[in-house]
Amino acid sequence: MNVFYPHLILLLPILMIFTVIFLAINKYRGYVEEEPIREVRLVSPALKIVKLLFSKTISSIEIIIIVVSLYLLTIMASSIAFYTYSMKTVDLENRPYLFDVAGVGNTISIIDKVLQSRYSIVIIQVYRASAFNVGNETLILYPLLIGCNRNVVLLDNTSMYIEMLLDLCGSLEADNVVVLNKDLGVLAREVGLRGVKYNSVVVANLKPLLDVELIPGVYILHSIGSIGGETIKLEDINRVALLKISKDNIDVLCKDGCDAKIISLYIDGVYEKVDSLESIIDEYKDIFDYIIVRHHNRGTIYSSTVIPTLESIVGLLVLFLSSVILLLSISSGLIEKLGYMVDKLWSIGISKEVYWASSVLTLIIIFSITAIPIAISCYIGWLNSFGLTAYLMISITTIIILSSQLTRKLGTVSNLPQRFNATYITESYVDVEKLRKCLAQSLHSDDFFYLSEIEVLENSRYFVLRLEMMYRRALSTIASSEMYVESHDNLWKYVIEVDIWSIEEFTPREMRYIKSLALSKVYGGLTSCLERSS
Amino acid sequence: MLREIILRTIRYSLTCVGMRYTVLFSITLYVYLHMYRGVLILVVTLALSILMVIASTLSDRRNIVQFINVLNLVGGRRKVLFTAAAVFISLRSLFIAIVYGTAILQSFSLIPIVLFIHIIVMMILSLIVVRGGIL
Repeated sequence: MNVFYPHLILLLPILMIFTVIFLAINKYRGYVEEEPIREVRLVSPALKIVKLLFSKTISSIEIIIIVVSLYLLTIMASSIAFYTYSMKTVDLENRPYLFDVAGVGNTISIIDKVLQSRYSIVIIQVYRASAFNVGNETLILYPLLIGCNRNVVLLDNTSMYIEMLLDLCGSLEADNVVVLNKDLGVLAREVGLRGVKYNSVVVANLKPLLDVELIPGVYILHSIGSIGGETIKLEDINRVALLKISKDNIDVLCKDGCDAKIISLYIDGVYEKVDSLESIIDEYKDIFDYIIVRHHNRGTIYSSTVIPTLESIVGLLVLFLSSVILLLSISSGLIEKLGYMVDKLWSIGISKEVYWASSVLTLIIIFSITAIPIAISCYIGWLNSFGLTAYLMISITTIIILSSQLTRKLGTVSNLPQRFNATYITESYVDVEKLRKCLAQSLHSDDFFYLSEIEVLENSRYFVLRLEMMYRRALSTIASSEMYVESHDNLWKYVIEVDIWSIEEFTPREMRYIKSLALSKVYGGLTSCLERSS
Repeated sequence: MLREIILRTIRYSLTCVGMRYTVLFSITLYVYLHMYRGVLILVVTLALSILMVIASTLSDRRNIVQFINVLNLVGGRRKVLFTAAAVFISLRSLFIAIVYGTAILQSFSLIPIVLFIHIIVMMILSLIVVRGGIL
């Protein structure tokens, strides 16, 4: 429920933006045409068209519906998106028992959070080498910082490595203590460390720690990952200097920032009061890059890298589909408006290509402006990246669908209407009245047309037969046919023309079909009458 | 006469192109209502389905105008015109209402409220369209 209210608040600025745009458009409507010309300015005609188109389309109900539905779909896309933590299971059989839950982070900045969390042992691998002067030689050593929780009271069934780490923690009580491996440590103690603040040397056998792995590829000592299946890690134990985790030590070693890996180990039952593992996992999940949970011989790695769920992907696809359906149903009205404008602009010399380009540019401008609230909401955090992706995807699809439909519409604008006529020339003469009766009879019981009217207009040189037929398979469609009859010497020429008048919405194809049908009926009737009488 | 006109209106409304879009939209709506159960999703789908009915009415704008013209030509009274147009538009929301109805069977408490709002809005929309509001 907590994500519900921010989305409602989002609607308010959207509505305000629309109101402002609507008022501005209403105020400056006709500004382009009615502005008195004060000075001669060279303005591109395409830009003028864009301005005109923008002012006409932005206030149309179709664009408003498209934009409102776009916003709604964006909010929906944002709210259906679920992320999940990526997960992997590894085999931990034959590995020492080091932890129940372990967290691994790759940045030093989380150290404060780590030290405030519940942990048993924290290890920081610092990847910046420090110089130690032993006698006359300068040694480059890699610092490994260790810290243990003081509340640890009980340890059962853990490995020797944990006990060893706890012993080392005990040795590192003071800030100036450094633990070195036995060979180097003995030398350092004899000669003495110079030039560094760590002057108290504790000697220990660190060799057992060298090959201790938490999970495959992650070691207690410095390792930088694996190349070609081979892990690159510290091989020489004499290059390690163990130090205590303290603010001073971290400040000295990582003065200007450094690469570090922080490993926190939590062992169940180390506290007096036993915490549930789930709460530890929840705590670690927010701090570390990935956490490892051990269940007997198996370890599950949870990464904080999020990936979208299958449900989100399916939801996004369905959402995209519904947006296309909505767009297709709304676009015809908008295209009709744009097509109506091109008829006028065409007559003043604007080519179809310029008009098409201007329309697409206008649509791009409109969707760019309406993207501003979405971008702001994403920046603030009200919408997630899924919402922005959905907006971009749907708006690009909108532009593509509208522009392709406009192309189709513009393609039919300049086509000249096809004339429907037929000519019949014969030597035989038929009396007009007889022809009229014959035609009326032949069309009387027609399946497609009902002959409503037939009349003869006579002149000294020629006569005209006019037929009016109603198309039976539509509500109100009339085919009007005119037959011009002329004589040249001994030849008679019959010219039939057909026109359709309808109150219904027909596609050009249907119109042509009815016209052809009407023409064939009249032509057929005429030929049969002429042949019968001759 | 009125019965005949209503039947013809239903047939005409079913054959118009906007109806196909509405049916397709209700299929996607079905998927949504069964996949997601958030209140926000419900509010957004409600708004979207209302927009869809407006959009499908607009896509058949010319057909409706011509249909009303034809009814005028054959001497239909105002009451007949109103009924025909209301039937024409309300049929659009029928499929969407059926989808909400199937969601009721899944016992989601907010669905009946949404369905009620939807039907009320559709009736208001029919009235607006008949009086020449958005056409």
